[in-house]
Amino acid sequence: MKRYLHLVIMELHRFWKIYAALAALTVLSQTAGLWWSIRTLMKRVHWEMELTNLSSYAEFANQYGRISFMSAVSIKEPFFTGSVAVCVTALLLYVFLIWYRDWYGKNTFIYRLLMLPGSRLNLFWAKLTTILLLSWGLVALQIVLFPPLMAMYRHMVPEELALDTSVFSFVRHHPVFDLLMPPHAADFLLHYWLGITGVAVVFTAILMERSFRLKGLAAGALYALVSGLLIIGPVSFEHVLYPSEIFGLTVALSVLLFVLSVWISGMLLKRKISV
Amino acid sequence: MKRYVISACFACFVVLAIGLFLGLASAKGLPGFRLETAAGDGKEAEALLLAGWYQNGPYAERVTIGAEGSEYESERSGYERFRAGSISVSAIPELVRLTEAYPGFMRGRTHASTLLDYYHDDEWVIRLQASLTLVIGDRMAGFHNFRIDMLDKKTGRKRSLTAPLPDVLRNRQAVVADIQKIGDKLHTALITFPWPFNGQREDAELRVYQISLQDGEVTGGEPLLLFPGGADDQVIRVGEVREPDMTAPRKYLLLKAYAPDSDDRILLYSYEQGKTHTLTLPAKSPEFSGSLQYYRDDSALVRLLFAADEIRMERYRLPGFEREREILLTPEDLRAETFQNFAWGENRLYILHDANGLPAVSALDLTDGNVIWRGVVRAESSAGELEKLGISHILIRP
Amino acid sequence: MIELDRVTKKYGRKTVLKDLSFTAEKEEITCLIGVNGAGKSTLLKAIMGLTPIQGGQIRIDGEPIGRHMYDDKIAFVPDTLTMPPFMTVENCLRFMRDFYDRWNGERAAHLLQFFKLNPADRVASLSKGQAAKLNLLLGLALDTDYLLLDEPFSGIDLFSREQIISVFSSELVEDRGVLMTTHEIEDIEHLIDKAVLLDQGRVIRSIRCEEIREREGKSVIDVMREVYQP
Repeated sequence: MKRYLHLVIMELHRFWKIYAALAALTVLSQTAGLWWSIRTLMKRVHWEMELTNLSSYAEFANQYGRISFMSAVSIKEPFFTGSVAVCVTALLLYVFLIWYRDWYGKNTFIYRLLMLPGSRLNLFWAKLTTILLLSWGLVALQIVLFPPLMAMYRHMVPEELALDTSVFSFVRHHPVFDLLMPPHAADFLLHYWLGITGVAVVFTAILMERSFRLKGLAAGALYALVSGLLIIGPVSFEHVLYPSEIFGLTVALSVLLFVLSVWISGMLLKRKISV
Repeated sequence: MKRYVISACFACFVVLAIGLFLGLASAKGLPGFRLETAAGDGKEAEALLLAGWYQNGPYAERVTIGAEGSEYESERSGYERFRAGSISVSAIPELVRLTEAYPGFMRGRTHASTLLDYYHDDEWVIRLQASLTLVIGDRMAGFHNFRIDMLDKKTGRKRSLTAPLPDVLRNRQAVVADIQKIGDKLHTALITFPWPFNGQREDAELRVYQISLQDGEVTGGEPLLLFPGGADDQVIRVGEVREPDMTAPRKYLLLKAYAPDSDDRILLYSYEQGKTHTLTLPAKSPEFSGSLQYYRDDSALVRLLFAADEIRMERYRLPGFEREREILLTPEDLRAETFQNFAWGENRLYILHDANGLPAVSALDLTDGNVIWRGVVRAESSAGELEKLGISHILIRP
Repeated sequence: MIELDRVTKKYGRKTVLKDLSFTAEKEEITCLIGVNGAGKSTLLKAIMGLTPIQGGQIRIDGEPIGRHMYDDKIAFVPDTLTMPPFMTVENCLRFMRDFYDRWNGERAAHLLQFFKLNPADRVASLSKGQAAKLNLLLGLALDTDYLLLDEPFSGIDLFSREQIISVFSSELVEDRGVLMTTHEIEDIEHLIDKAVLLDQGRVIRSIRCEEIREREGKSVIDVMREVYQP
């Protein structure tokens, strides 16, 4: 356990500069993007009011409707969700690089890692935990960012024009945020369980490639493809399976895939991996 | 040491932020509403849900409200939303009941089924499927069969048999209007049209076949024109009269046939006697902007003319169509401003209206036309929330 | 004793080690000698489980090699420093301390001073000599019974080499079994107890250096010439 925790801390530390940059990008991009959006919207409001001789915001609201947080966010996309897309892409790439940097970085660190005492599966668990923590870290950042962003919106948009809503309602109705941070505990756990199973499958494919090179690459790609088909498979039988069965089957298959991935990875790390 | 402290703080931050987010999301839900009984037996409320929307800032949140409280679609879990949208789960109450009771037998059937394909009594669940007619180029092709699947509820055993569709149907399109089990025969009422169907009158027929459940022998099927005496180019619509449980055993089949500028015709077919009886009723007048609907059970046919300012109901006894009663209801009778919508229950008409500005629903007993229950929507938190609530229709629970 | 018993290793279709057998005893320095591509580095990696073998067995003190041995029985100093470039010397020592129960911090501090390494220097900024010394430190500061070294002098300047060689004749090494590979035989010939000569994945000859010197008056290099240039 101690070695596993040390590995997790080491892995987190290795990525901190890029991570800090991603966090900074998210904060700056969303804050600046929202500020610019609202400013643009308010300019349009004033222009329209002048053009149509409206004397108050309330009159404007009656005629043209109000400005919601969602519309304020949408006007200057991709400055809002674009930063989320960059973070997601970076993490998806890092799912691969977290292994390959140990082989291809200067001073093949994988030597050192594979020689560490204790189970080599600690490497697998530590990298998996790191990916999960990094993902959740960005989710947590977004959670604490929403209230000040909404406060900025309320400050910049006059009350007569604002259409207030809670963070939870905004998240529920935004397709990107509802996927990445669903405000329903069961959904949150399910989304990230499936996500971490996917990462485990990719890790296994990577270890296959590292163990058997070209043949391993083919085997890994096949393993990933079959795993993906297995997970989405039950849904394609919607006409003969009931929703509870599809759900149960999907969860059961994901558990099976996760366990299989861990077992194969452990076996490869112990017996087949080569530097 | 610094690294460990930072990592620990990071992990704590993640857990706290996400935990707080999920905790608050579940605690701070959207405002709750409840359907409360204002008059009559509260048990009446158990049969219904009111569906509408709540204006939550920029979002129109879909909501259903019942006696136990309200439920918002956006607050449901992903699984519940998936379940509601799944093709293997029907929205039709009768099929939902059958699926919950007999999941094995109903597997794979609900998405392609209509209620009219099913029969359900104390001993059997039966499904009939008239095969699809294949169209290749400008010809009809493919083989034609009745396929019958049966479930013996007592033993749990399933059985299937196929019976040939009579040749006379080879150039006609057939839809199942009803099936009834009488003895060891399945009486199958088909509405048939020529192919290609143009809805014109001389071609809409009713044919009732008797299929032996022992050996699949098909007998009967004399054609009965559904709209005799109409013009050649008249477009006719034919449909079944709605009843509370379309899968239940019935002594009579009731069909309605109607065409523009013509009176409505209600055709009653008695399964026991094999005879028909027609009732002609005036169509709704062009000035009438409301809806005209029919409802039946085994004792009576009800004709409903529903408008925002008036409900007119006529009750006809079966099988002879003797006019039993006429009821006229105005919003004032229910202390409402307007009637908004309605739904049929078992021997009930549920009427959606307002009551002192609150959404309300009243239940009318179809036997005697009396209002036997009234319910009102109340907000669980602040009464001001009701101003953001709009109810659009009534749902009958399975 | 490190015992290799008919070890076979293949890379694809190419057999790199063929039925290879030899031993390296504790409290002795055993040197693996061979031309480039003879399989020396592969052999050390196979002992450390860094590459799988296809046949034979590797035993340490009679027990088949296992994961638990990498903490207390055997340490490996690869031919390059395998620490990430962003790490400082201090970070590297802390890494070893965190993961190895048998890390000897005192010895590490002593070697740090002896090799004149600055704890604040990043790995990326170390010279080849400094990197080699740090690499050796990371192996020597572990209290293990056996130490494997892969080309510890390769590409190192004369003075760094002398410093490293001086460590081999100190108490830091004398209680352990050392198995090393090197091309710089002349520098360490006076230290090695046993030489195992490899060619094309097989053991061609295994000699006890002092015996050969006394009995036949030959040095290890003389034997090498006989074997590789007959």
